[in-house]
Amino acid sequence: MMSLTTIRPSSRARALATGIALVGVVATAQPTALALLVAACIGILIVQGKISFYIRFLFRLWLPLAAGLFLVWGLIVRGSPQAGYGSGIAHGLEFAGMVALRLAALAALFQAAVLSLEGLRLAAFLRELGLSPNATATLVSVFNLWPEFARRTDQVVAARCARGLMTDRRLWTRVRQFPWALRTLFVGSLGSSLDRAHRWEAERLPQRLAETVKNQGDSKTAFWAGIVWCFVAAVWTVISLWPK
Amino acid sequence: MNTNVSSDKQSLAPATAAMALVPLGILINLGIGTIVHLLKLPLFVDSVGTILITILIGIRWGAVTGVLSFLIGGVIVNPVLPYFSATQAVIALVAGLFAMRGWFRSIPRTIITGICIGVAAGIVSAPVIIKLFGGITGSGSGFITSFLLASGKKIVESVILTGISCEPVDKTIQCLLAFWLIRTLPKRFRKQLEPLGYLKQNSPLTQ
Amino acid sequence: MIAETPSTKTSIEAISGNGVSRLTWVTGNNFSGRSAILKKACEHYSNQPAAGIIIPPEIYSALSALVPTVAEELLLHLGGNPDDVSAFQRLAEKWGLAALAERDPYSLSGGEQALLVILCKLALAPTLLAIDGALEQLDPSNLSQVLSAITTDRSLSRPPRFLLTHNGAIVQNGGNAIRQVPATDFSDIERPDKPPPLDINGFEPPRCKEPATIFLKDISFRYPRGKTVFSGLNLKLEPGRIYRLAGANGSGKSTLARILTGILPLSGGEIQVNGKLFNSYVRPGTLARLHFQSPDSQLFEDTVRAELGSLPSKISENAARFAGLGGFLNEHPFDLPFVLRKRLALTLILHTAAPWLIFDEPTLGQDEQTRIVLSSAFQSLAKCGYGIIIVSHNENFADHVASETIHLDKDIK
Repeated sequence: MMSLTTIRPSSRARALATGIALVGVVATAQPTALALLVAACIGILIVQGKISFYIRFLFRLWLPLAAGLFLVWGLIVRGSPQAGYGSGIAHGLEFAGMVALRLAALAALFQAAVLSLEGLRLAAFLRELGLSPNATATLVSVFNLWPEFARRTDQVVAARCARGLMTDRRLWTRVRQFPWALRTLFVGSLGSSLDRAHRWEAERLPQRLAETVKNQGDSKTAFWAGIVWCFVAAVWTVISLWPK
Repeated sequence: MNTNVSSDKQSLAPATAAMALVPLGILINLGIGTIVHLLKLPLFVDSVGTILITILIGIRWGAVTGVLSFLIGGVIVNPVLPYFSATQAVIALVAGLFAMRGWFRSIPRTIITGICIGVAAGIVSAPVIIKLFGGITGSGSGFITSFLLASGKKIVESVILTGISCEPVDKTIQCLLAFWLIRTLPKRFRKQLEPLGYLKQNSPLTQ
Repeated sequence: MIAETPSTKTSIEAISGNGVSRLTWVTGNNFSGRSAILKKACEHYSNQPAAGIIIPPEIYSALSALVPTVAEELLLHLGGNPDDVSAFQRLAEKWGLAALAERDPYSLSGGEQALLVILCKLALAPTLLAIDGALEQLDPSNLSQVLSAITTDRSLSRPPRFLLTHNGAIVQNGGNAIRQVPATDFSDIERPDKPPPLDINGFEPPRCKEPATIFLKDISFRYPRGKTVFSGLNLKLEPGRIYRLAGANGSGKSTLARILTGILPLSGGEIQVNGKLFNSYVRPGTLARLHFQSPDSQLFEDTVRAELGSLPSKISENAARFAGLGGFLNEHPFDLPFVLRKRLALTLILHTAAPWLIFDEPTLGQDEQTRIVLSSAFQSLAKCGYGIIIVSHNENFADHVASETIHLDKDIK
């Protein structure tokens, strides 16, 4: 029996389903619909093995943002745009809760749709959406270079220490490093980027990438999985927008 | 003394330049936060890459850089970012219009450019903030909006006033960073990039 | 090996076209035009995609950045060349790359990246493959394997011709001849102007103000959510000596260097300096300073003059003279070629004032003349009371200059 992790919707269906659900997320006024979507996306992320990414997002970004919203709408403005400003703490908290839930749903939706696209699968996805080999290569390289960029950043900051240019870790000492670290990072990365682009042209690597992913195309399973995703997304969107 | 035999002699086609620089711009937009985080600084900059790529290879690619940064950032950083993609396009447009006329050539000019970009960004972001957040985000600027509301101002007015007071500071810092970076580009990159964007108009007058 | 007689004049045509030997080693010192020769030979094939490929000394810039794993990097390059899949899989196994299949290519060590890039560019089936200095990143056994594959492996359906530059010895056991051609024999290339060599007479380090005896007591290091690099390490390092850190990849050489420099904090144990407890992480760069393998992350200014200006003024003049960079003071460091950027980065650490100086692959890209001067410089520093630690694949250099070798993959108590 095929495992859940191997059933993936086709690229176009994935994009379409996400687009349909996005309409619902942005326009709905029903918190239960949003909560249902979040739960479904969490399920997808667990199956994909990407749930830790979403959890990190919740704790590092979403929680502080949500706390700020509750503080501002609940305690400072004490109202909501619909009920009127100053209409009461309860309205403010309800509105803040809705915005926070909507943000959590947006993140869950995007991550469930895209995070499982790694490596050649991402390239295949972009090619199927109609991007040219060069455009595909350009976008794909962002994801592959991200860890390298982070490593290079780390290296540059380490180099400031290694040369004795940052001899303590006080705030002002760290602030002073920023422009020089940024410049070295930029110039070094610019050189590598230009060399890489020349090499891509000379060795036709974007075209090779397009060739390599051509046969990673969608199977019948992916087609039907896509149909199911689109159907479920459409049903959810209709329900979420149904007047109470 | 000529000791260089590296790629300084290669001319750069616009398409090749875009392939090289758009990813770099995106990484800078999303990744400056990494430096800021490593150094534990109380700053937030998200458009330096957009501004830089605009100056280096033009408005179109600067806008592509900004929009893609925020679309990709929507997945890996903050789901709200894609809604501000239009703001990135406007930043590229305004930065490009100023760069065309050499407004990144000196610090005073760059500051004025930053203020103008900030005002434009504040105005363009306002509808998104109103629609998505009801006018107040959970960030620092949201507190300013809330106090303006509490003082009796209407929501649209409050959001725009917040935007045009906070954004110019943030965008000016970012323009100054871009100014700093292009000012000290090595010659071999300058030669390759000058035909493609607005680098020549913004070179220091002594060069 | 067949050496060309000095009187033989050679052209790019002769070695890039139907040359006699499958592998030609272009010999010579830095700035003799070796890189230019390789580039021009590849340009010969510029009208056909991927027919003439050059691998630069900065290996990471030859990675595609289009795929996230080693296996996919090879697959990408093999895409248009399905006939040789099994041959390349076999080579990947032999060179240890199969074990790294799921790794991010950018996370590999310099030597591992070199192996991957060579294999991938071979997979593009070029007519000519030029390797400019990249082989220096390989340890002796990997170097011998690669050369053996290049010169004797007949399983590749369309083996290319090879050109390479290499600072150091190439020892080949059996197999076909490697043709050596001095760079000076080529008449049809544009040579760069040769900058002055390193000048040991310009090197006058001041006496170390506070020589530091380091005692590492039961130290351990573990990356957050990662593996333990070492634990229970005990080591005494005395000033005035030159140590070589040895060990396999992953044994902790770079990690130890970074701990001493204060870039990484200890996970356990303590560092004592002259009998007192010392926290290097809180005071980075005060006990030890480190020269990185790649110079590019260590240069921060927009002119060589400003870079040297970070040293005290009298020392910065000496440093410029020592490094032969007097004619480049107004140049941007990134406008210098790799060899000079490396020299600049080395010079900045050689002239700095910390009691311990650590050098990671100091001889990378440097010719024999430069190595001799570096060796003398290290010895001068040691005599002045500084402690020196070297991490190097170049066993000839390291064994010659170091007074003691510390093997990190053996249990040191």
